[in-house]
Amino acid sequence: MQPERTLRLIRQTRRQLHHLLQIEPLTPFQAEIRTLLETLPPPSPREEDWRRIPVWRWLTHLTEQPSSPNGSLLSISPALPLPTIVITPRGAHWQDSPHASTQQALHTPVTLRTLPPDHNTLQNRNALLFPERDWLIALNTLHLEHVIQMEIPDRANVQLALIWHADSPQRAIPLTAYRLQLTVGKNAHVAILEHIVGHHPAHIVIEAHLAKDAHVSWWHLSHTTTPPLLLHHLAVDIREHATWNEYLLNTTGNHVLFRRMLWLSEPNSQSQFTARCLSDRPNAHLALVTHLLHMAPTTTSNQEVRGVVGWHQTGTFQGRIFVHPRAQETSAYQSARWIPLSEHATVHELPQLEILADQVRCTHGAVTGFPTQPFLHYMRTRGIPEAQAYLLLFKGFLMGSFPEEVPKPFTALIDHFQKQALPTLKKLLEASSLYANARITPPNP
Amino acid sequence: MNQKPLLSIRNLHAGTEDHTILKGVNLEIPHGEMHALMGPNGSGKSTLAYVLAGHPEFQVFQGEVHLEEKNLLELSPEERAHLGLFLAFQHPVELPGVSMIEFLRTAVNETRAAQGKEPIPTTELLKQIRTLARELLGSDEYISRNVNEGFSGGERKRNEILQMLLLQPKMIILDETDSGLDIDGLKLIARAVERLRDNQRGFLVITHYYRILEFLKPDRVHLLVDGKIVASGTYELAVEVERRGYEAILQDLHAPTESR
Repeated sequence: MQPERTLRLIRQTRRQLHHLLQIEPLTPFQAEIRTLLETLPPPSPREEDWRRIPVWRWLTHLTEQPSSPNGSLLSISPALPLPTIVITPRGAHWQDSPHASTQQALHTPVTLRTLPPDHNTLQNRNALLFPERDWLIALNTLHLEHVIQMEIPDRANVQLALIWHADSPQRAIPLTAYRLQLTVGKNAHVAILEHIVGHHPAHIVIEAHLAKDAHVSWWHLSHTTTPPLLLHHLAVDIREHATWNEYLLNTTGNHVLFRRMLWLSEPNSQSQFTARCLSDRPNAHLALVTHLLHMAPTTTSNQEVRGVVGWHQTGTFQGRIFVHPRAQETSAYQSARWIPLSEHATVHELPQLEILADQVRCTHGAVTGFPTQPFLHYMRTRGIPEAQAYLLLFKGFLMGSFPEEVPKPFTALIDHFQKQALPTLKKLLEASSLYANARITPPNP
Repeated sequence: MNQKPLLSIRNLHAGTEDHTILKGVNLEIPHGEMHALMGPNGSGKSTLAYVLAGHPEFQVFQGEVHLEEKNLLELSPEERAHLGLFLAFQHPVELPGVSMIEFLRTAVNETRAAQGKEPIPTTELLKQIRTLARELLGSDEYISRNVNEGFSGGERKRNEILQMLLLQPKMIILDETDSGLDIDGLKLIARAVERLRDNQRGFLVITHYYRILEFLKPDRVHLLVDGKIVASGTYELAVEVERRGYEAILQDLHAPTESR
């Protein structure tokens, strides 16, 4: 590798890691890494030096060896009737599901391009997506400067799946990074199902711009093939009467950070965020950091976060709502509920309101824990054993109202992801010292 | 013919950690009989129901409770349910996020498994649930909701009866199922209870009011006051309670003692 390029990559990586390490409070290990990052001398161009520093070891430690070839959404749902865009690192091996044999073209009015232009990628054309052909965008993924642009024209009605592939062919620095700029035209209706697969740490930045009256529903679903370290940054500008609805279901990951910043920049713009978080990794740190900026009158936001942590896991929610002096008649709701299932698990909830207008409706709530006793007894009087009752309750807590409205092509997938969350929940319960006496019995067929 | 009573309660003392509420309850319900338990507020009627159902907030200090041969007090709430004990709650809780279908399916199949039976096929169970929901709740739309979420007080009571009909228990306790119900709801529930009445099942109907008993016509009526059954009789006792009120009856009961 060229020394200048290595240097650039190292700087890039350090910058990316800082994103994760900005979260407070840090676990002792993360604090140690941050201290090291802050005190490191200027990065050396020599790869051997880079390899000596703990950050590299940390990244390598987090990298998981793929146990099977790459998966895809198509392996989950063979008849997925969706245009699917796979974004993969150049040189990485992407093996599609054997089910993806259909050659039916899926037309979509989406325009895709990369910046800077890249002859290996789709260029300035409407996407006509064939499974097994034409649909891969291969990027040099260590550059966040390397941008994928996606444009959805006015009045379009688009439903598509977006897969980020996080298996970097770069062995020196096992990190993949992507940046997407999404523009949604006036009065367009868009549903995007986002999914990240891979075994290397991933950093994804999405910048979205919604024109007047646009409506976007964004679904982020994860399961066991999600990278162990995921930094997911989202910045959305929402214009007049436009709506951004986001649903997040995270069921795995060692270090997961979702940072989202939304500008409700014109009157009557709306945003909704529904998140459900858990992980099957014993030391996972799941963090959600949200900034809602109400910049115009009669804007509405609603955030509902729920999570379950066990073992030595940490769950963090930092939610800040800012209401600008001119954003009169704003409505902003924020609620976060986490359940710690182990005495070693930690929950941090930091809701913040900064209201500079005088005619607003803002509520925020942060709850840790769950009063289970009355529910449990009711269920047990119906013959449901205690452990089974816990499972039903926690499943209800996480999935009960998630999601409320599902675009039809996504139904099977969302159902699949929800089912995948159950074994994780069961593991968390089984490992929980609080419920040591409750024996989990196999589910009914 | 069953010689042993279905439910037998002997000298039951129970309450919370620092407060004794039941102070020596004795009661036997033979197979095939319906007993009513009446009493003023705070007399311990619901506490008795909770104790029988194994609520963890209540402790048993003394006494025995048997369901046929089994000592109920040694069993967990779910084991009691598997034996056939059912409590229709006075205030059924909502189960946030728990769907009706999943809840009912788990309850039915867990109970069947404990009784050594195969799980009921889902389609058959669904059919049963839908039929019951249409009959008791007026629509099968309710079964796509979460348990008791957004249900009115009356709908919750009807949902309890739906569960009772589905689970087909042996010993049924109705804890003020009639409170908060309109006259049509009351008749509907009375008809549903009547359907289960046979010579094997037993019922304990806890109530403040005479009205439901008019429909159900219990075999025996008991009066619980201050944690003890102070009077037992036929259906006529309920009629007297309705006519004269608890206080007058209690004064009569105490009169011989006072005159001595």
